[in-house]
Amino acid sequence: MRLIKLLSYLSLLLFSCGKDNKPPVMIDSVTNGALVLCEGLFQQNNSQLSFVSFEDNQVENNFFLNRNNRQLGDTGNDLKRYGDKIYVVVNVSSTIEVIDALSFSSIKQISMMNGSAAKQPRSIAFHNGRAYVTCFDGYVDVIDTVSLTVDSRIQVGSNPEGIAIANNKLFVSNSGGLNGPLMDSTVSVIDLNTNQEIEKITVGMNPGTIKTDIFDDIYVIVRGNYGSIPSRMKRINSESNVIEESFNFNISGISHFNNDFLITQYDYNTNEANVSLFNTSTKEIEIASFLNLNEVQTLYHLTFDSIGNRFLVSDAMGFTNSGYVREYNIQGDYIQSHHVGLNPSKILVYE
Amino acid sequence: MRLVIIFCLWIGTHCIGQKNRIQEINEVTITFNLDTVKIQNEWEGINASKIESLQVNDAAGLIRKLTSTSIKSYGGLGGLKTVSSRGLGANHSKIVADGFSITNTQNGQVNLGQIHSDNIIYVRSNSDGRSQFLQPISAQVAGSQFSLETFENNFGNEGLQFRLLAKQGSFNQWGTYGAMKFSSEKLLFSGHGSFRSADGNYPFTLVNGNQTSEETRSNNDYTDYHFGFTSGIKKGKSVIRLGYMQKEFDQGLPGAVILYNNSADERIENRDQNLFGDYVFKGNKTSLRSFIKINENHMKYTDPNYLGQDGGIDISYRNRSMQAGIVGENKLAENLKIHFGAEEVISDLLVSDTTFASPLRYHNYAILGLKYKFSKRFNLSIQLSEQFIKENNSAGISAENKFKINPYIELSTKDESQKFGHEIWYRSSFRMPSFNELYYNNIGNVNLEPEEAHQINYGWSLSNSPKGILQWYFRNNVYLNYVTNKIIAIPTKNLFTWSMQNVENARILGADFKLGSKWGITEHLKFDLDLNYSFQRAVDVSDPNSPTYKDQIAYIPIHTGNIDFSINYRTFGMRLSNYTNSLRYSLNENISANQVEGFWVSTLSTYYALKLKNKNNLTFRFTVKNLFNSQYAVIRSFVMPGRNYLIVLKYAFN
Repeated sequence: MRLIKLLSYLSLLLFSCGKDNKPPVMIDSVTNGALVLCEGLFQQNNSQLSFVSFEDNQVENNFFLNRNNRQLGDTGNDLKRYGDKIYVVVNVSSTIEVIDALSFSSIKQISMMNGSAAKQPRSIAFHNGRAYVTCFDGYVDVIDTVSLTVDSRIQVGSNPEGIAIANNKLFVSNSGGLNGPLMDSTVSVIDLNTNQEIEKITVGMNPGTIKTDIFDDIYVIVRGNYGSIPSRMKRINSESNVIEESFNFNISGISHFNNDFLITQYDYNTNEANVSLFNTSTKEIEIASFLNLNEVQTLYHLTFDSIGNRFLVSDAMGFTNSGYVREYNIQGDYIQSHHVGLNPSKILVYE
Repeated sequence: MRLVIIFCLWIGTHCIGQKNRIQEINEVTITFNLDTVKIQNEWEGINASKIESLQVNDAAGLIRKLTSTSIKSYGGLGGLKTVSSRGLGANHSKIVADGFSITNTQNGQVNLGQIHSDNIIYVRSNSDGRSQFLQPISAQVAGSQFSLETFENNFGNEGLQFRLLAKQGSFNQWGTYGAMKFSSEKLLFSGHGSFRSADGNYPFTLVNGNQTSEETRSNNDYTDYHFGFTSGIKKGKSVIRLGYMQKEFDQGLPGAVILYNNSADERIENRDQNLFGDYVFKGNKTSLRSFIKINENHMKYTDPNYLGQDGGIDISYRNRSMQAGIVGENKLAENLKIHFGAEEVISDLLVSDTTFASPLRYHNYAILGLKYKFSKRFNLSIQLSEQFIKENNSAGISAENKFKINPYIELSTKDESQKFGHEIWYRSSFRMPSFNELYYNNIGNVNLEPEEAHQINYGWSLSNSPKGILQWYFRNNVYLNYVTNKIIAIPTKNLFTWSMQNVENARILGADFKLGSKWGITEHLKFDLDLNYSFQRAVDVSDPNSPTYKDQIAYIPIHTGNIDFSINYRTFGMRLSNYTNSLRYSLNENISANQVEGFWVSTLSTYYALKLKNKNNLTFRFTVKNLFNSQYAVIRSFVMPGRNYLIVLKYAFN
């Protein structure tokens, strides 16, 4: 029996090899860099945070694990900072990881379960000391950011995805994505005084990303059916709750760029990607091709770093290979790439 | 991801078969004229006594003992287990039970976890074409093939036989099996029934970063029962047979172990009905077999916590198929044989979800081959197979029809003593996309092409005299395979909508080694040692610019091995069985983050047999599975059971 055990250990030693056998990087000074949420893949429990240092261009993967001795979970979906806390929304694990923004140790893991069923949280927004979290089970959870407990639940449409705040109202895009091909087409409007849904605006099939501009207009992407019904952007007047404009260009994502938007577009079939500049004052595309994306294989997310004046493009590399954060200067020239985890998406910039 | 769940279904069919074997010098002579598998020698497969001493839960536990196989197991009794051979995907593997192909056109794979092992008396893999005599054409043309034979469908002239078995094991596992068989010169009849259940809530150690915790698998219960009858008549050189088999399952799906989220409520209920029959004629010059099998598989999948508008999923699938064919061999001259066959498989899928496709497939096979013995020692075998597939989706766009011709060629030689032989063969084959791959909502892609495989193999074997006290057999294969147009799922519309595409090519360089030996020290004291080792370097050769170029394909271990040792003394015996896999990767990118650790699992099985009067036998077995309590997963996030126990009491008459 000893022989068998010995052989067993030997076999493990012999067969343990990967092509990335470099010593893991640990970054001491978490400044002048970017915290990157790598979503991972469904059922692989491999969502993680990476920290990219602009100081020495080092990357620390497994950033959360290294500081908390445990994994983030399965399929991280949103990453935001509010005050001195970072909130990571972990969709399949159904948790919200609340992390100290300086020490990076977990303050609390909020379990987002409803009895034995997972609520599947998706996106988070903050207002007046409260966090609002869209949950795929058809609710927005209201979390007190001091006690870090769920105070109440607000019923909305099916599979709410994005969340934006304007005029003391919450705008929640109800994707209905789990009902494909019969998806939802509404945005729920919630009065933040009463925490009640006051209206559902019909915006178009499969609404997803939703953003507020500096004029308190709401922009929502209706993603269509990924086929005959194309993806489009709509503008909602946040006072009247009325759609005022539909934009006739293909769109995958919206990112803030100073007072304007960067419109990203990625075609899953052809792998073609484009970034254009949308002027929120004139409400028109100002520059049709804003970044040269030759280095990017799969444009997944775009973040503008207003501190370092650089663009950070999350490249998902076909979704099953570890990804890159690709850095561009303010002129739109490619600078360098940082190798991070699987499916990098949301980025928080650190001074 | 529902696709993965939907893959968890089905069980195939059993059917009818064959003969009784008497061992001769390095050959097995067929005593009954229904044999559909030519057994070259006794070492090639796993025989009844070894199967019994292995005490596995299902057919997957047996097939993993064969060389160059890799089993994907999601764990638990009845849990999804599929086999891929020689680096080809699981959809290239055809499972033949008692001479009938198990067909599942819905997902293209057979869940070995739902094939009982208590009634299996022989298992082998047929990678070459020589051993596929009178097998269905649909199996002969597959990239790899495994044959199972069962007690209740193998008929000799033994008269009346009974088998009764009861077992109890860890995780509240219960099982019974009973069979009655009668076979005479003119008539044959058998009936059998079996039942298995387990709550499946096994404990496991969850490793989360640097922390560990003791957890228990939940929603892993399983219940099934099978029953069937076979009857037939023999006349001269002909046999006619007819049988029916039904299997029902009800199981919880524990799903992946998701950190911080223990919810698991999915269930599958399944009913599988088979009506089968065949006619076999074996003359001096001509052998002929015609067969028919009608199968209906009814599967109901529920997930009450699915967050769709209707408050969960409740969906039913009916996959029906009818296969009928003829296969034969004729001796044209002393050194020349022709073999031929044709088969038609008609299948459809009816789904309660009206947004799903309604596919109907006509799959036609034909085969023509020659075997020429051009000296005493050399054999040449050449074969061409044709397949035509016609698709009709009455609820939408149909996939295009397909027409393919595939060759097989083999040159083999044996020395005069029959102790040393070697052969080289080439074959091309393909596997059709399944209905799910073609038509499943959002995931399916009607433009999929079949996945092609090309295999070249050189093999040799050596054995010593079968008359000595120590007998041994050694076999080695070296092979090079190419798989093109591999069907894999990639995101094509958004990250949540993955679709099937023909985007990968793979190259597999493999070798396997097998040593079988038995040592009869005295009349009562016997040792057996069976070793095998398989090397499979299966790499992605799709795109030189890809980060995964020349990386090992996900979930194919480079090294697999078995070491089995048994000792038998009079009425007592024990077997130590070991199975090992080297590390695998959960995705094609070979980085440490994707590593799934290698494992070594040992099983210790002991028995005590009592020979009672008048051919009555009673056997008591006690088995410790996963003896060293190895905590491992074959598939990432699907943990396997630790150490567990099984007690079996078996009664046999004749």
